[in-house]
Amino acid sequence: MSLVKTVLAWFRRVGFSLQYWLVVAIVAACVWVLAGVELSLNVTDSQEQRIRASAYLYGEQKVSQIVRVPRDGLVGIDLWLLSHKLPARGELLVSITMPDQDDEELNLLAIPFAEISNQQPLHIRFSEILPTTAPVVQITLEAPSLTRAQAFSVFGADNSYSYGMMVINDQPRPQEDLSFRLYSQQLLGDQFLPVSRFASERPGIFGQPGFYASMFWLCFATYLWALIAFLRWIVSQRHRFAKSANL
Amino acid sequence: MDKERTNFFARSLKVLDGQTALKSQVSIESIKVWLQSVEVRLISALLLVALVRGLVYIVMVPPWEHYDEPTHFEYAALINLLGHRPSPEEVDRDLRFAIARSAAIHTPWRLKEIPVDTGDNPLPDIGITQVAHPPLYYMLASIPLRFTAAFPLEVQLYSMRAFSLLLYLIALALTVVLSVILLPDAAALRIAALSVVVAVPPFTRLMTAASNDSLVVLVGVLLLLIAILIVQQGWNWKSLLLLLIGFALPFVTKRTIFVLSLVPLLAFVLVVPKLWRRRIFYSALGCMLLGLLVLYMMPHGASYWLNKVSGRLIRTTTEIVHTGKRAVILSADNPDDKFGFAQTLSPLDVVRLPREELTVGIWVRSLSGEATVTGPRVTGTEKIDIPSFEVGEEWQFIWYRVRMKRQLDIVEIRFPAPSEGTIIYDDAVAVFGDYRKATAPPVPLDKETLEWDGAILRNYFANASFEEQVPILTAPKPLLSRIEKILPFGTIDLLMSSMGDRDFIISVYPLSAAFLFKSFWLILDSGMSPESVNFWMTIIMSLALASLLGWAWMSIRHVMPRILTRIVEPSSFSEHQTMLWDLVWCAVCMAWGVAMIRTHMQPPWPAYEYTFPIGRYVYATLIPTVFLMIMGLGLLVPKRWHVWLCVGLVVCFFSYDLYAIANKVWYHYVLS
Repeated sequence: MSLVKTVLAWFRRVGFSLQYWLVVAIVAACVWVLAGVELSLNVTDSQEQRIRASAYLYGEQKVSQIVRVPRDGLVGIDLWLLSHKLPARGELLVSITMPDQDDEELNLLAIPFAEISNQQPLHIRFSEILPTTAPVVQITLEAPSLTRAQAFSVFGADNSYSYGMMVINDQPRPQEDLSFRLYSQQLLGDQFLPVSRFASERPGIFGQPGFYASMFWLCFATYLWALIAFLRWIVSQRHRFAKSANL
Repeated sequence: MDKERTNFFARSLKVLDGQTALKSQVSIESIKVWLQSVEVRLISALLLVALVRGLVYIVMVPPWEHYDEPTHFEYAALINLLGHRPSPEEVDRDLRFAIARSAAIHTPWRLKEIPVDTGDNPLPDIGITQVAHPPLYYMLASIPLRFTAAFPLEVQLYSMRAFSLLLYLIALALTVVLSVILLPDAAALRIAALSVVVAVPPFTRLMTAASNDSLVVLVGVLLLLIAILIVQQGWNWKSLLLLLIGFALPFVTKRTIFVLSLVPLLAFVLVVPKLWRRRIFYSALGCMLLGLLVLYMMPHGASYWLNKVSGRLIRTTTEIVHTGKRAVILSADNPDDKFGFAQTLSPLDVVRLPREELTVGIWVRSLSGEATVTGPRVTGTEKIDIPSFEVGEEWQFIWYRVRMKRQLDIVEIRFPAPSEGTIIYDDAVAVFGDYRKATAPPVPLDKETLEWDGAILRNYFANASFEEQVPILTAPKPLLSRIEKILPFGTIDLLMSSMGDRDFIISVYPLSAAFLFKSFWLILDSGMSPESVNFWMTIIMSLALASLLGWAWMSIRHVMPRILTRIVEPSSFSEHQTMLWDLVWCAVCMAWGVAMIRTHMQPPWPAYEYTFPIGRYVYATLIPTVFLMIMGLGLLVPKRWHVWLCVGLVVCFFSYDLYAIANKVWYHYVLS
């Protein structure tokens, strides 16, 4: 407590300039931290029409959707699956690959069937994929442990998504798309400035969204400082105003 | 009011009388007092704004986004790697691929795909090489690169941008000095000038780019200061030393500003005691311009008398270069899906072929399809579609007539890819280029066959020649060309190159001026809506016109009576200070004149007109231009309103600045 008092007393003693820049520095540090706080996921692209069951998942069946990775990256996808008899055991395999490079698997996930609900779309979360790394990805679903009687229906519609298509068992279906929602991660800083995009693919400190938020805050504070100096200068020129007023 | 204005002019153009001026007016005590003044605090705040804004620009503009930034960076990085100035052929493969990869990620418009180095694939194209530029900036910029060599390439680029920012801050500090000298009794105008310089967005953008333009700006201010110092010093050895430094600086900086060497030279001529009268100054200036014009108009100059060469010249072309300026080998299994080559017309060649119909000739074999000839790159692209042709097994010379309407510095012949219709019948096709006047016949070939890279080629252009016949008045400038050969950087030809079509230039002169003006003041990015462009241009153009009005008013009030009545020197009028402003005018006019010579825009302007940064050619004198504008406005309004004028300008330009920053964020990070 006494330390706080000492600091406050010292703060009162120092000149206005130092006070100002100390406050600016403290706020900059806070802005840096706060800008990087993750908010809820943001839907950046979607095809939400659910007209029919476009495919069935069981055994060797593979159902895929090719999508364009949003500029802010891709961290999750919602898909609509339906099963009349939800199996208790086994896993749904989700693989994310680049369509032109089959061997390059970006993500491989296994989701227990127990976590899949008929009431909600299936939300799949994975590590971020950036458009510069993979501009287009293919998300493939497989359920090898299921029999035809246990199959999942995967909902889709006609071709209403222009950046991709549905693929069933490696056979492209250009006139159809699955129903999906693509998610990107939003940061608190993004609500005010596109800091995530600033930081995208940049190295070290330049890859920190908070860095850009702090830079802009510093810029604002400097403008404010210049404005104060300018106003003081105008006041110092008041004799000219006096002359002007006499006219 | 008139009296007040007159007095202001007399005071603001206060005598800085030779040696005594600085000593009497700028004493140590007065400097101390000034340093503690509110004005200096404001200047410090403005410099701080410039620093922070510069840092924001450095990180805000995506890596490699600036004009030719990858190749500017590559030049400095090569100096760092090799330890010497690289030749055009010296390329570090790893570095080139690293730059290309980074550029493809951060500025996808430069490279559509991220290149992969397979060991034997061609080097990725990252832009026009900058190795032809004088190395001073790049040698200096390689110093920060030494300290950041271990970091990722983007960090290295930022360090080079930071070096440019340092040059920017030095230029601003010199601006403060310049403002004290040029506007000794007008604090409001000094603040206004510095504020405007700090707040012009395209200027900040350029000064935070990894590009030698930042050094150009600094040298531009430095030259003006040198000229002023020469005037202050008078005619002595110090002035001579300053003159030598000032004359040499542009030649080690950039070719586009060599003309500014004349500024210190003018100052030196002016301080010859007997030439101090202003009419002598104008006479000297006129004689100098006349002399240059005579040199330019001389049909064959000294070379005519030395070589007795008349209107017909034979000149050999360069030999085949494997890297493909004059020759490329295309094969049926060429992995590179581009079929074409660029033929650079050297400035000398362009000088000798003024506004003529050219024949662009190529030798082809086993090819069919359509081709295009394009050029030039600098001032837009002229595309000529060549009709379909079909050539069998035998070599055939095909030529196309190209009417040169504008500066033509690169002719590019491009064949569509096989997927677009070109058929290659054989395993190898050689295409060689040459050019000559349309009236000249196809050139004779020196050799019949050449074995190269496993292919037997016949009728190749290893040592071809072309003939030219030049009309007298539009003749080349051999005398200048000879001087050019002595100079290390090819400056004269570069500038004279585009004068070949001066008739055409004159016809588009007003448009070129408007184009220069726009790209000078407007931010060098797309993304500005036409409405906002018009809005800011209206404001800035109004200010410029008002400023010119101010100068005209001053001329009518003070200069014209002097000329008419032959009064040499009114007692309240400073010869020295006026001379300084004459130097500012000269520097600005020279820079704008040279830029005008190089700019050949004609309607319809391309859609990217605002992104086409021709205005940067004039940035060497941006700071003097701002001074002229501020002074002109100061002359137009009474001095007691100067504070309000300053407030208005600060509000106007800082609003523009904030808009530009917001626009840049929107364009780079929200829109696309």
